[in-house]
Amino acid sequence: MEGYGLLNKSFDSRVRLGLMSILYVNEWVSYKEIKNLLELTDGNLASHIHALEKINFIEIKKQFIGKKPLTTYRVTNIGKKAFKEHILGLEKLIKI
Amino acid sequence: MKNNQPESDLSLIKDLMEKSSKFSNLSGIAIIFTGLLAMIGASFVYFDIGFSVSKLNISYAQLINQNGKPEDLYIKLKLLVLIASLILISSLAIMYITARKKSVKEGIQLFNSSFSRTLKSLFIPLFAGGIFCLLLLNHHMYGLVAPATLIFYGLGLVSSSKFSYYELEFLGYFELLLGFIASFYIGSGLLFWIIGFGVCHIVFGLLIHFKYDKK
Repeated sequence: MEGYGLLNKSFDSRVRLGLMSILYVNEWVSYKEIKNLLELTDGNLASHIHALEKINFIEIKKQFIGKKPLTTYRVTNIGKKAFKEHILGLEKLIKI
Repeated sequence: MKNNQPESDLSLIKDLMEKSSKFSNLSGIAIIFTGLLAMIGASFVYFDIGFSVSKLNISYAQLINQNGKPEDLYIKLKLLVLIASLILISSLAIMYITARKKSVKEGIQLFNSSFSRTLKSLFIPLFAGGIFCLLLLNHHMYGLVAPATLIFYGLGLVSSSKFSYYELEFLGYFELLLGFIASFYIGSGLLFWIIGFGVCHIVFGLLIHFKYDKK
C-alpha cells in the first residue's frame, strides 16, 4: 500500500481537494468563482482557504477593480508539488 | 469527509479541473439568434428579396458563373460582402454582450485565461480564412467563398472546443463536412451556408440552452 505514503493529510477534505484542483489548472482565480464552482457557502470556503494559506499551499492577492475589492488566489509551487504527489498516491491506491 | 475513496476523489479532481479551465459563458439563446440572423441575411442574398434599390436581378448562381455585366456583378458582390460582414459583426457583438452578462451574474471575470485561449484558437483559423476569402474574391472565384468560410469556421470550432464546450468539436466537424460538400456543388454554396451558419447554430444553441443554461 505505498500509495498511502504519498497522500497528504491537508487534502483530506473534499473542499480542499476541489479548491486545489481549480487553482492547479488556472492562474489567479477569484473567491466568487471558486465559490460557484464548488457550490459552497461563504463561511465554509473561507476556513479551508485560510488553512491552505497557512501551510503556504496557496497565496492570496487583494486588489481593487475600480472601487470593488477583488480577492484572487493562486497555488504556490509547494502546493503544486504536494497536490501532484497526492494525486499520484490516489492513482496508486486504485491500481492495487 | 474522510479520504477513503480514491476513485471518487480523482473524479472530483478531474471534473473540477475541466470545469474551471473551460470557457462556458456562451448563451444558448444568443447562439440561436445568430443562427436566425445568418438565415435571414443569406436568404436576402439567395432569393434576392427586397432589393428594389436597383433594377438588377442578379441571382447568386449568376454571380458565381459570372453571367452578367461586370458592373452589375460587382454591385451584387458588394451587397453580399456587406451582408456577410454585418452578420459577422452583429453576431460577435451579441455573443460578447450576453457572455459578459452571464459572467457578471456568476461572478466570473470574462477575460480570464480560458476565454482568451478560446478566442485565440477560434480566431487564428477565422482570420486565415478571412484573408483567403478576400484573395478568392480578388481572383473572381466567388463560388468558393461560401464553402471556404464553412471550412475555416469548422477548423476554428474544432480547435477552440478544447478550451470550451466539448460539443463545439462535433459542430466543427459538421461545418467542415458541409464546406467540402459545398465546394463540390459550387452553385449551391449559399444553401450550404444557410445550413451551416443558420440551421446548425439554431440546433446548437438549443442544445446549449437546455443542457447548460437551464441548470
